[in-house]
Amino acid sequence: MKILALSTSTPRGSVALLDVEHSDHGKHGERVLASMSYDDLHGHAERIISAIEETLAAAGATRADIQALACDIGPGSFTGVRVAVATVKGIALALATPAVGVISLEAMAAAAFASAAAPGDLVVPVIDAKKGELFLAVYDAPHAPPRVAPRHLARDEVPAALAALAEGARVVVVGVVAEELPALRPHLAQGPGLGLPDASWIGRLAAERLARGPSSREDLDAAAIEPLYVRAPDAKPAQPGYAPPR
Amino acid sequence: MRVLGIETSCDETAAAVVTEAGDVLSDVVRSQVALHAPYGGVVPEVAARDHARAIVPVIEEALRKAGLTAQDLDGVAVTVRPGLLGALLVGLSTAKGLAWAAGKPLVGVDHLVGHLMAVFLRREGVEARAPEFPFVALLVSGGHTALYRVDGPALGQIRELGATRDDAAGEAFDKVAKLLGLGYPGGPVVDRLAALGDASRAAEALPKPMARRDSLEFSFSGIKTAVARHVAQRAAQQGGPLEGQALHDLCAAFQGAVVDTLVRKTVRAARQEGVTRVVLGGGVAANRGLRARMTEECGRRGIEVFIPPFASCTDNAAMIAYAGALRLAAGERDDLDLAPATRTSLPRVTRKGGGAR
Repeated sequence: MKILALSTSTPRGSVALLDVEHSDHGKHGERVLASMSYDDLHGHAERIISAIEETLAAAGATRADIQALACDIGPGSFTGVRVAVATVKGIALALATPAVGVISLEAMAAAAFASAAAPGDLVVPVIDAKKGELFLAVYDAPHAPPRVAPRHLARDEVPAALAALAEGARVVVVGVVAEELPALRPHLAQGPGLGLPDASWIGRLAAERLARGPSSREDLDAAAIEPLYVRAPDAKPAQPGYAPPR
Repeated sequence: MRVLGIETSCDETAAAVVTEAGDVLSDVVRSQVALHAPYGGVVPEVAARDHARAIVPVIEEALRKAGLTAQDLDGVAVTVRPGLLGALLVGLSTAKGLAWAAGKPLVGVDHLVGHLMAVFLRREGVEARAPEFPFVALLVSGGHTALYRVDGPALGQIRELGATRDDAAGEAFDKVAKLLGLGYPGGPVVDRLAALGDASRAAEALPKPMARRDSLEFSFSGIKTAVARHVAQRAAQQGGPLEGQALHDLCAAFQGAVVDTLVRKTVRAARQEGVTRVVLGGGVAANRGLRARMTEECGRRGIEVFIPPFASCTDNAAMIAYAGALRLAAGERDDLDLAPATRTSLPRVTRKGGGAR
């Protein structure tokens, strides 16, 4: 089964086409057939389709070969996340394929456990949330629910929060934004898929999800994919009789 | 030719299937108005989030009602400008994904061109009178207020004659309603209360907006300020908010002044252009006072007025699908790197802000 995966939650846009083989024993193996990326936060909507076409061409595939879709649902740039989510929804409308949303931070953690971290380590993926904050989550094993679910936290509160969680475990921080925080730099691991979420890891996690099959009727339906914003919109209800400047 | 239109430029998620003849096969609009009401206006991020949630069900409903699948379409039209960028991006990205995967041509549509073409939509069971070109159009909504000369559906055939220097007329209704504690959106409630009031009893408190005879430009921020001043004065004198007859009278005076300006300038534009047809468009075209005054004043001067049904005046995707179908029928299509923009592609003559009134 071929999965097309997209990520546009950060300045890094990426597309990957994966091939997944299912064996009789519920195991599956996946292979990235082709992938590409670019750096352009404000250009996702312009570039995503040509990035998809480029990836398919590199794999010698066409849109008719796509059997499932995967997209990065954030957290990350609100507007950026919606580009991949809406693109996948549009593609699924035409192809009627199943679709899976994958959390950006989880994709980074999965990449870390495959390279820089071992089970038992505390893997902490971080993404710039602007406004002096980071999006982060904490994972202590691959293929397991997070120790700390995705959230936003003020930059200067992050080191103390991690120290309180560590309890002697090795802390592995992944994410380019960590370079800007001196307290995190000693824990920072670098490598492919670690700096920013990458579509190939979005695709791999989607493959696991697809292998388990739908858990409900709505599951695996692109229409039901919701971005994971983590942070509420920046707006306050109006006071009666007061007209705010526009 | 059957074209799917997608509209997400502001606070309606909409999809429709329309032919190049203007026949509306389906028209689905999901309004976010209740979502934005607590904020007293449209919050861009709230709008974009709701579009992302609603876009697929709305498109699926439009296809289902038209009895079609994506494969049956001859093209996809989508609003690319003007509007809120985050909101536009949801519709545009979905449209691109759909058009690309279904192998259908994509065309971007300027939302204002959509409004100007909405008069040509043919809805089942609704008698439709379509004007011939050229006509003068008054496009008046919460986001836009402008007069155009329209010689045809293409961008080069539409010329702005004058627009608002500051607030849109619908925006003025919203702001005044907020000042009077009437909630959001302001248009329908002010229209309703105005019908109960006597404009002459409050008219002296309000200026005539941009009344200069030779100008086709509008300005509605001054009258909003005058309403605020009037409300503050009354509160100081009587120790409470405006209520009852005094509130109805003020609504009548405000609406009367806005409608008067819109009608006078539209008539002036038609005379100046030597055109005998006037078309109304935009959400404020639902205002009963405006419809009545425009019909009366134009009728007295032998100008024919075309007011589309309400569903064609407010934001909808049928007008986008139709404007897109005209582009497709003319052999046009856009590349899939199409980008959204906050401003219209129609050339503008009115500068926002200062200058002699």
